[in-house]
Amino acid sequence: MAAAAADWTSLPDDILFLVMRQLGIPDLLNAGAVCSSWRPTYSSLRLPITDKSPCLLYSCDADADADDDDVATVYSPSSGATFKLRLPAPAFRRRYMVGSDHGWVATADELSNLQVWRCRDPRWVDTPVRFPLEDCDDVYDPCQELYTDEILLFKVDIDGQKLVKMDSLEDYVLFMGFNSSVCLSAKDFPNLKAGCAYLADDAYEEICVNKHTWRELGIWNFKSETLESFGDPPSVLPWLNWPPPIWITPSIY
Amino acid sequence: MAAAAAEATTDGGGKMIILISADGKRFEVTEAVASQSQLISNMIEDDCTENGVRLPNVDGDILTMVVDYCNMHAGDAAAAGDTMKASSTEEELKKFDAELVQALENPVLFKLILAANFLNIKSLLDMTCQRVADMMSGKTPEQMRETFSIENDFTPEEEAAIRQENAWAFDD
Repeated sequence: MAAAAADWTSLPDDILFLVMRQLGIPDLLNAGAVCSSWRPTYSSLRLPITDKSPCLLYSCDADADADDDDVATVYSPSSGATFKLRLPAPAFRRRYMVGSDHGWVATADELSNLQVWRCRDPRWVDTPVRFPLEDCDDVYDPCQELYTDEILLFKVDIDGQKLVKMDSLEDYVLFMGFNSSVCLSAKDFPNLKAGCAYLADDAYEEICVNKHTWRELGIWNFKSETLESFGDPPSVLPWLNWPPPIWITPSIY
Repeated sequence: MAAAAAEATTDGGGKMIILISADGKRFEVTEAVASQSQLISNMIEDDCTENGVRLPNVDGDILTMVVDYCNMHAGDAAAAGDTMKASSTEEELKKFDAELVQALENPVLFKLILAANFLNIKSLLDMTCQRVADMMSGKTPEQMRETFSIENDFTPEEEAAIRQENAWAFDD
Protein backbone atom coordinates (compact mmCIF):
# COMPACT_ATOMS: atom_id res chain seq x y z
CA MET A 1 0.00 0.00 0.00
CA ALA A 2 1.38 3.40 -0.90
CA ALA A 3 2.68 4.84 2.34
CA ALA A 4 2.66 8.53 1.42
CA ALA A 5 0.94 10.46 4.20
CA ALA A 6 -2.38 11.94 3.23
CA ASP A 7 -2.69 15.69 3.22
CA TRP A 8 -6.06 16.12 4.87
CA THR A 9 -5.92 19.89 4.45
CA SER A 10 -6.25 19.29 0.70
CA LEU A 11 -9.54 17.42 1.07
CA PRO A 12 -11.93 19.07 -1.40
CA ASP A 13 -14.41 21.42 0.26
CA ASP A 14 -17.47 19.52 -0.86
CA ILE A 15 -16.16 16.31 0.72
CA LEU A 16 -15.15 18.07 3.91
CA PHE A 17 -18.68 19.47 3.97
CA LEU A 18 -20.07 15.91 3.89
CA VAL A 19 -17.83 15.00 6.82
CA MET A 20 -18.62 18.05 8.94
CA ARG A 21 -22.33 17.66 8.31
CA GLN A 22 -22.16 14.41 10.27
CA LEU A 23 -20.67 16.03 13.36
CA GLY A 24 -22.51 16.98 16.52
CA ILE A 25 -22.24 20.53 17.80
CA PRO A 26 -19.16 20.30 20.02
CA ASP A 27 -17.23 18.30 17.43
CA LEU A 28 -18.23 20.69 14.69
CA LEU A 29 -16.97 23.70 16.63
CA ASN A 30 -13.69 21.91 17.25
CA ALA A 31 -13.31 20.81 13.63
CA GLY A 32 -13.71 24.43 12.58
CA ALA A 33 -10.79 25.36 14.82
CA VAL A 34 -8.33 22.83 13.36
CA CYS A 35 -6.71 24.76 10.50
CA SER A 36 -7.31 27.63 8.11
CA SER A 37 -8.13 25.41 5.15
CA TRP A 38 -10.96 23.73 7.08
CA ARG A 39 -12.32 26.98 8.43
CA PRO A 40 -14.25 28.15 5.32
CA THR A 41 -16.10 24.85 5.06
CA TYR A 42 -17.02 25.09 8.72
CA SER A 43 -18.27 28.63 8.18
CA SER A 44 -20.37 27.56 5.20
CA LEU A 45 -22.28 25.14 7.42
CA ARG A 46 -24.96 27.07 9.19
CA LEU A 47 -24.35 26.60 12.85
CA PRO A 48 -27.56 25.39 14.41
CA ILE A 49 -27.28 27.42 17.58
CA THR A 50 -25.15 30.45 18.18
CA ASP A 51 -26.16 31.74 21.55
CA LYS A 52 -27.54 30.65 24.87
CA SER A 53 -31.24 31.05 24.30
CA PRO A 54 -33.64 28.17 24.87
CA CYS A 55 -34.22 25.57 22.18
CA LEU A 56 -37.18 23.27 21.87
CA LEU A 57 -36.23 19.63 22.35
CA TYR A 58 -38.80 17.35 20.79
CA SER A 59 -39.48 14.15 18.98
CA CYS A 60 -40.05 14.48 15.27
CA ASP A 61 -42.55 12.48 13.28
CA ALA A 62 -40.04 11.60 10.57
CA ASP A 63 -37.58 10.05 13.01
CA ALA A 64 -40.26 7.91 14.56
CA ASP A 65 -41.03 6.59 11.08
CA ALA A 66 -37.35 5.83 10.66
CA ASP A 67 -37.58 3.89 13.91
CA ASP A 68 -34.67 5.79 15.38
CA ASP A 69 -35.45 6.08 19.06
CA ASP A 70 -32.31 7.97 20.02
CA VAL A 71 -32.71 10.99 17.78
CA ALA A 72 -34.21 14.16 19.14
CA THR A 73 -34.95 17.27 17.12
CA VAL A 74 -33.90 20.66 18.38
CA TYR A 75 -35.39 23.96 17.24
CA SER A 76 -33.70 27.23 18.06
CA PRO A 77 -36.16 30.14 17.71
CA SER A 78 -33.28 32.56 18.05
CA SER A 79 -31.47 31.28 14.96
CA GLY A 80 -34.50 29.78 13.24
CA ALA A 81 -32.57 26.53 12.79
CA THR A 82 -33.79 23.01 13.27
CA PHE A 83 -31.31 20.22 13.69
CA LYS A 84 -30.98 16.66 14.93
CA LEU A 85 -29.34 15.59 18.12
CA ARG A 86 -28.43 12.00 18.86
CA LEU A 87 -28.96 11.34 22.53
CA PRO A 88 -27.15 8.56 24.33
CA ALA A 89 -29.06 5.36 25.09
CA PRO A 90 -31.44 4.46 26.69
CA ALA A 91 -33.81 5.68 24.02
CA PHE A 92 -35.01 9.26 24.21
CA ARG A 93 -38.32 8.42 22.63
CA ARG A 94 -39.38 6.13 25.45
CA ARG A 95 -38.59 8.56 28.25
CA TYR A 96 -40.70 10.74 30.45
CA MET A 97 -39.72 14.38 30.48
CA VAL A 98 -39.41 15.69 33.98
CA GLY A 99 -37.94 19.12 33.47
CA SER A 100 -34.96 21.12 32.32
CA ASP A 101 -32.71 23.66 33.95
CA HIS A 102 -29.17 25.01 33.51
CA GLY A 103 -28.65 23.06 30.31
CA TRP A 104 -29.71 19.80 31.94
CA VAL A 105 -32.68 17.73 30.85
CA ALA A 106 -34.22 15.50 33.46
CA THR A 107 -36.10 12.41 32.36
CA ALA A 108 -37.46 9.30 33.95
CA ASP A 109 -37.52 5.78 32.58
CA GLU A 110 -40.44 3.38 32.88
CA LEU A 111 -39.28 2.33 36.36
CA SER A 112 -39.34 5.95 37.55
CA ASN A 113 -35.57 6.16 37.75
CA LEU A 114 -34.58 9.74 37.28
CA GLN A 115 -31.71 10.49 34.93
CA VAL A 116 -30.27 13.79 33.79
CA TRP A 117 -28.31 14.69 30.70
CA ARG A 118 -26.87 17.71 28.95
CA CYS A 119 -25.81 18.22 25.36
CA ARG A 120 -22.14 17.50 25.69
CA ASP A 121 -22.38 14.33 27.72
CA PRO A 122 -21.92 10.87 26.28
CA ARG A 123 -24.25 9.25 28.79
CA TRP A 124 -27.17 9.88 31.11
CA VAL A 125 -26.37 10.48 34.74
CA ASP A 126 -28.31 8.46 37.29
CA THR A 127 -29.79 10.23 40.25
CA PRO A 128 -30.94 8.64 43.49
CA VAL A 129 -34.37 10.21 43.04
CA ARG A 130 -37.42 8.34 41.85
CA PHE A 131 -40.10 10.18 39.97
CA PRO A 132 -43.69 9.01 40.39
CA LEU A 133 -45.18 8.07 37.04
CA GLU A 134 -48.55 6.89 35.90
CA ASP A 135 -49.05 4.12 33.41
CA CYS A 136 -49.17 5.37 29.87
CA ASP A 137 -49.83 3.82 26.51
CA ASP A 138 -48.10 4.24 23.19
CA VAL A 139 -47.55 7.38 21.25
CA TYR A 140 -50.24 8.65 18.96
CA ASP A 141 -49.65 10.97 16.06
CA PRO A 142 -50.36 14.48 17.17
CA CYS A 143 -52.37 17.29 15.78
CA GLN A 144 -51.89 20.81 16.87
CA GLU A 145 -54.66 22.52 18.72
CA LEU A 146 -54.04 25.80 20.41
CA TYR A 147 -56.19 26.33 23.44
CA THR A 148 -54.41 28.84 25.62
CA ASP A 149 -56.67 31.87 25.65
CA GLU A 150 -55.30 33.95 28.45
CA ILE A 151 -52.00 34.57 30.19
CA LEU A 152 -51.78 37.05 33.02
CA LEU A 153 -48.54 38.86 33.81
CA PHE A 154 -47.73 39.93 37.33
CA LYS A 155 -44.79 41.66 38.88
CA VAL A 156 -43.91 40.80 42.48
CA ASP A 157 -43.91 43.91 44.60
CA ILE A 158 -41.74 42.74 47.48
CA ASP A 159 -42.09 45.86 49.60
CA GLY A 160 -45.84 46.01 49.19
CA GLN A 161 -46.07 42.19 49.54
CA LYS A 162 -48.42 41.93 46.60
CA LEU A 163 -48.68 41.10 42.94
CA VAL A 164 -48.98 43.97 40.49
CA LYS A 165 -50.62 43.23 37.17
CA MET A 166 -48.55 44.14 34.10
CA ASP A 167 -49.92 44.96 30.67
CA SER A 168 -46.88 44.19 28.60
CA LEU A 169 -43.55 42.42 28.66
CA GLU A 170 -42.03 45.30 26.68
CA ASP A 171 -38.60 44.26 25.43
CA TYR A 172 -38.52 40.92 27.12
CA VAL A 173 -39.18 37.39 25.97
CA LEU A 174 -40.37 34.54 28.16
CA PHE A 175 -39.86 30.83 27.69
CA MET A 176 -42.40 28.81 29.65
CA GLY A 177 -43.22 25.16 29.81
CA PHE A 178 -42.13 22.12 31.76
CA ASN A 179 -38.73 23.79 32.08
CA SER A 180 -37.67 26.34 34.64
CA SER A 181 -38.95 29.55 33.06
CA VAL A 182 -36.48 31.78 31.28
CA CYS A 183 -36.73 35.52 30.68
CA LEU A 184 -34.44 37.12 28.10
CA SER A 185 -33.98 40.61 26.78
CA ALA A 186 -35.05 40.82 23.15
CA LYS A 187 -32.22 43.29 22.60
CA ASP A 188 -29.75 40.45 23.07
CA PHE A 189 -31.70 38.11 20.81
CA PRO A 190 -32.95 40.10 17.84
CA ASN A 191 -34.69 37.15 16.18
CA LEU A 192 -36.97 36.51 19.12
CA LYS A 193 -40.31 38.27 19.24
CA ALA A 194 -40.19 40.97 21.87
CA GLY A 195 -43.06 41.10 24.35
CA CYS A 196 -44.04 37.49 23.69
CA ALA A 197 -43.92 34.22 25.56
CA TYR A 198 -42.69 31.04 23.87
CA LEU A 199 -44.90 28.31 25.20
CA ALA A 200 -44.74 24.57 25.60
CA ASP A 201 -47.04 22.41 27.73
CA ASP A 202 -46.42 22.81 31.41
CA ALA A 203 -49.07 20.78 33.18
CA TYR A 204 -47.92 17.64 34.95
CA GLU A 205 -51.22 15.88 34.24
CA GLU A 206 -51.02 16.65 30.56
CA ILE A 207 -47.43 15.57 30.26
CA CYS A 208 -47.08 12.54 32.46
CA VAL A 209 -50.57 11.14 32.62
CA ASN A 210 -52.40 12.03 29.44
CA LYS A 211 -49.82 10.77 27.07
CA HIS A 212 -52.16 11.00 24.12
CA THR A 213 -53.22 14.57 24.40
CA TRP A 214 -52.21 17.25 22.00
CA ARG A 215 -49.25 19.38 22.83
CA GLU A 216 -49.65 23.06 22.78
CA LEU A 217 -46.70 24.94 21.34
CA GLY A 218 -46.58 28.48 20.11
CA ILE A 219 -45.79 32.11 20.73
CA TRP A 220 -48.17 33.96 23.00
CA ASN A 221 -48.53 37.57 21.96
CA PHE A 222 -49.49 39.64 24.99
CA LYS A 223 -50.69 42.54 22.86
CA SER A 224 -53.08 40.68 20.60
CA GLU A 225 -53.70 38.02 23.28
CA THR A 226 -53.37 35.24 20.74
CA LEU A 227 -51.21 32.20 20.40
CA GLU A 228 -49.23 32.32 17.17
CA SER A 229 -47.42 29.47 15.48
CA PHE A 230 -43.65 29.44 15.23
CA GLY A 231 -43.62 30.80 11.72
CA ASP A 232 -45.02 30.47 8.28
CA PRO A 233 -43.81 28.28 6.72
CA PRO A 234 -43.51 26.53 10.06
CA SER A 235 -39.90 26.34 11.13
CA VAL A 236 -40.67 23.57 13.57
CA LEU A 237 -41.00 20.11 12.04
CA PRO A 238 -44.17 18.18 12.87
CA TRP A 239 -43.76 17.01 16.45
CA LEU A 240 -45.03 13.97 18.27
CA ASN A 241 -46.81 14.26 21.56
CA TRP A 242 -44.29 11.91 23.15
CA PRO A 243 -41.89 12.69 24.67
CA PRO A 244 -43.50 16.07 25.30
CA PRO A 245 -41.58 18.97 23.72
CA ILE A 246 -39.55 20.87 26.27
CA TRP A 247 -37.41 24.02 26.27
CA ILE A 248 -33.76 23.46 27.04
CA THR A 249 -30.89 25.90 27.07
CA PRO A 250 -27.98 24.00 25.54
CA SER A 251 -24.68 24.36 27.28
CA ILE A 252 -22.28 22.13 25.50
CA TYR A 253 -18.96 22.64 27.27
CA MET B 1 -32.72 -11.31 -19.31
CA ALA B 2 -32.44 -15.03 -18.60
CA ALA B 3 -30.52 -15.57 -21.84
CA ALA B 4 -28.10 -12.81 -21.00
CA ALA B 5 -27.44 -14.40 -17.66
CA ALA B 6 -26.63 -17.73 -19.26
CA GLU B 7 -23.99 -16.15 -21.51
CA ALA B 8 -22.28 -14.27 -18.77
CA THR B 9 -19.09 -15.61 -17.26
CA THR B 10 -20.09 -14.63 -13.74
CA ASP B 11 -23.32 -14.91 -11.85
CA GLY B 12 -23.79 -11.17 -12.13
CA GLY B 13 -25.26 -11.32 -15.59
CA GLY B 14 -24.86 -8.81 -18.40
CA LYS B 15 -21.83 -7.44 -20.18
CA MET B 16 -18.38 -7.32 -18.68
CA ILE B 17 -16.42 -4.10 -18.37
CA ILE B 18 -12.69 -3.66 -17.92
CA LEU B 19 -11.53 -1.02 -15.41
CA ILE B 20 -7.89 0.06 -15.66
CA SER B 21 -6.20 1.69 -12.67
CA ALA B 22 -3.59 4.45 -12.76
CA ASP B 23 -0.82 1.86 -12.46
CA GLY B 24 -2.24 -0.29 -15.25
CA LYS B 25 -3.99 -3.01 -13.23
CA ARG B 26 -7.05 -4.42 -14.97
CA PHE B 27 -10.31 -5.41 -13.30
CA GLU B 28 -13.09 -7.23 -15.09
CA VAL B 29 -16.51 -6.55 -13.60
CA THR B 30 -20.10 -6.87 -14.71
CA GLU B 31 -22.02 -3.83 -15.85
CA ALA B 32 -24.26 -4.18 -12.82
CA VAL B 33 -21.26 -3.99 -10.50
CA ALA B 34 -19.56 -1.16 -12.37
CA SER B 35 -22.63 0.98 -12.76
CA GLN B 36 -22.82 1.60 -9.03
CA SER B 37 -20.33 4.24 -10.03
CA GLN B 38 -22.43 7.02 -11.48
CA LEU B 39 -19.43 8.03 -13.59
CA ILE B 40 -19.14 4.60 -15.20
CA SER B 41 -22.89 4.21 -15.41
CA ASN B 42 -22.98 7.36 -17.53
CA MET B 43 -20.16 6.02 -19.69
CA ILE B 44 -22.06 2.78 -20.22
CA GLU B 45 -25.08 4.77 -21.34
CA ASP B 46 -22.92 6.74 -23.74
CA ASP B 47 -21.41 3.51 -25.05
CA CYS B 48 -17.83 4.42 -24.42
CA THR B 49 -16.63 1.50 -22.33
CA GLU B 50 -15.61 -0.72 -25.29
CA ASN B 51 -11.86 -0.41 -24.80
CA GLY B 52 -11.88 -0.49 -21.05
CA VAL B 53 -12.33 2.41 -18.65
CA ARG B 54 -9.10 4.14 -17.69
CA LEU B 55 -9.13 5.66 -14.22
CA PRO B 56 -5.95 7.76 -14.16
CA ASN B 57 -6.43 9.01 -10.60
CA VAL B 58 -7.25 5.72 -8.89
CA ASP B 59 -4.41 3.40 -7.82
CA GLY B 60 -4.69 -0.35 -8.27
CA ASP B 61 -4.84 -1.11 -4.55
CA ILE B 62 -7.58 1.44 -4.02
CA LEU B 63 -9.49 0.19 -7.06
CA THR B 64 -9.25 -3.33 -5.62
CA MET B 65 -11.15 -2.14 -2.57
CA VAL B 66 -13.66 -0.23 -4.65
CA VAL B 67 -14.33 -3.28 -6.83
CA ASP B 68 -14.67 -5.48 -3.73
CA TYR B 69 -17.16 -3.00 -2.32
CA CYS B 70 -19.14 -2.80 -5.55
CA ASN B 71 -19.19 -6.59 -5.93
CA MET B 72 -20.52 -6.90 -2.42
CA HIS B 73 -23.16 -4.23 -2.97
CA ALA B 74 -24.21 -5.19 -6.50
CA GLY B 75 -27.27 -6.82 -4.96
CA ASP B 76 -28.96 -3.64 -3.75
CA ALA B 77 -28.19 -1.72 -6.94
CA ALA B 78 -29.58 -4.42 -9.20
CA ALA B 79 -32.49 -5.35 -7.00
CA ALA B 80 -34.81 -4.47 -9.86
CA GLY B 81 -33.17 -6.97 -12.21
CA ASP B 82 -34.34 -10.55 -11.99
CA THR B 83 -31.07 -12.14 -13.11
CA MET B 84 -29.17 -11.20 -9.99
CA LYS B 85 -28.87 -13.96 -7.48
CA ALA B 86 -29.77 -12.73 -4.05
CA SER B 87 -26.19 -11.75 -3.29
CA SER B 88 -25.66 -10.75 0.30
CA THR B 89 -27.98 -10.39 3.18
CA GLU B 90 -28.31 -7.01 4.77
CA GLU B 91 -26.47 -8.23 7.82
CA GLU B 92 -23.52 -9.53 5.83
CA LEU B 93 -23.32 -6.20 4.03
CA LYS B 94 -23.31 -4.25 7.27
CA LYS B 95 -20.55 -6.47 8.63
CA PHE B 96 -18.54 -6.15 5.42
CA ASP B 97 -18.88 -2.36 5.43
CA ALA B 98 -17.98 -2.05 9.08
CA GLU B 99 -14.89 -4.21 8.67
CA LEU B 100 -13.87 -2.35 5.54
CA VAL B 101 -13.89 1.12 7.10
CA GLN B 102 -12.52 -0.01 10.45
CA ALA B 103 -9.48 -1.56 8.78
CA LEU B 104 -8.58 1.53 6.77
CA GLU B 105 -5.26 3.17 7.51
CA ASN B 106 -5.41 6.92 7.44
CA PRO B 107 -3.76 7.49 3.99
CA VAL B 108 -5.83 4.71 2.43
CA LEU B 109 -9.05 6.16 3.81
CA PHE B 110 -8.09 9.48 2.26
CA LYS B 111 -7.51 7.92 -1.16
CA LEU B 112 -10.65 5.83 -0.94
CA ILE B 113 -12.71 8.96 -0.27
CA LEU B 114 -11.21 10.68 -3.30
CA ALA B 115 -11.84 7.58 -5.42
CA ALA B 116 -15.45 7.29 -4.22
CA ASN B 117 -15.92 10.97 -5.01
CA PHE B 118 -14.32 10.72 -8.46
CA LEU B 119 -16.20 7.55 -9.39
CA ASN B 120 -19.33 9.04 -7.84
CA ILE B 121 -20.31 6.08 -5.66
CA LYS B 122 -22.56 7.79 -3.16
CA SER B 123 -22.92 5.01 -0.60
CA LEU B 124 -19.16 4.48 -0.42
CA LEU B 125 -18.55 8.21 -0.16
CA ASP B 126 -21.10 8.54 2.64
CA MET B 127 -19.62 5.63 4.49
CA THR B 128 -16.03 6.87 4.28
CA CYS B 129 -17.03 10.42 5.22
CA GLN B 130 -18.87 9.03 8.21
CA ARG B 131 -15.66 7.23 9.18
CA VAL B 132 -13.74 10.51 9.12
CA ALA B 133 -16.47 12.14 11.21
CA ASP B 134 -16.21 9.26 13.70
CA MET B 135 -12.45 9.82 13.89
CA MET B 136 -13.09 13.48 14.82
CA SER B 137 -15.76 12.74 17.35
CA GLY B 138 -15.00 13.68 20.93
CA LYS B 139 -11.64 15.24 20.09
CA THR B 140 -10.22 18.68 20.77
CA PRO B 141 -8.87 20.65 17.79
CA GLU B 142 -5.34 19.67 18.86
CA GLN B 143 -6.25 15.98 18.96
CA MET B 144 -7.88 16.27 15.55
CA ARG B 145 -4.67 17.81 14.17
CA GLU B 146 -2.74 14.88 15.59
CA THR B 147 -5.12 12.33 14.08
CA PHE B 148 -4.93 13.84 10.62
CA SER B 149 -1.33 15.15 10.76
CA ILE B 150 -2.41 18.75 10.28
CA GLU B 151 -0.34 21.78 11.24
CA ASN B 152 -2.01 24.51 13.23
CA ASP B 153 -1.63 27.42 10.83
CA PHE B 154 -3.74 29.96 12.69
CA THR B 155 -2.07 33.04 14.09
CA PRO B 156 -2.54 33.51 17.83
CA GLU B 157 -4.93 36.38 17.00
CA GLU B 158 -7.03 34.14 14.75
CA GLU B 159 -7.12 31.44 17.41
CA ALA B 160 -8.25 33.96 19.99
CA ALA B 161 -10.99 35.16 17.64
CA ILE B 162 -12.24 31.60 17.12
CA ARG B 163 -12.20 30.96 20.84
CA GLN B 164 -14.24 34.08 21.39
CA GLU B 165 -16.68 33.11 18.66
CA ASN B 166 -17.20 29.75 20.34
CA ALA B 167 -17.31 31.21 23.82
CA TRP B 168 -21.07 30.85 24.19
CA ALA B 169 -20.60 27.13 24.06
CA PHE B 170 -17.57 26.90 26.29
CA ASP B 171 -18.76 28.27 29.61
CA ASP B 172 -20.91 26.24 31.88
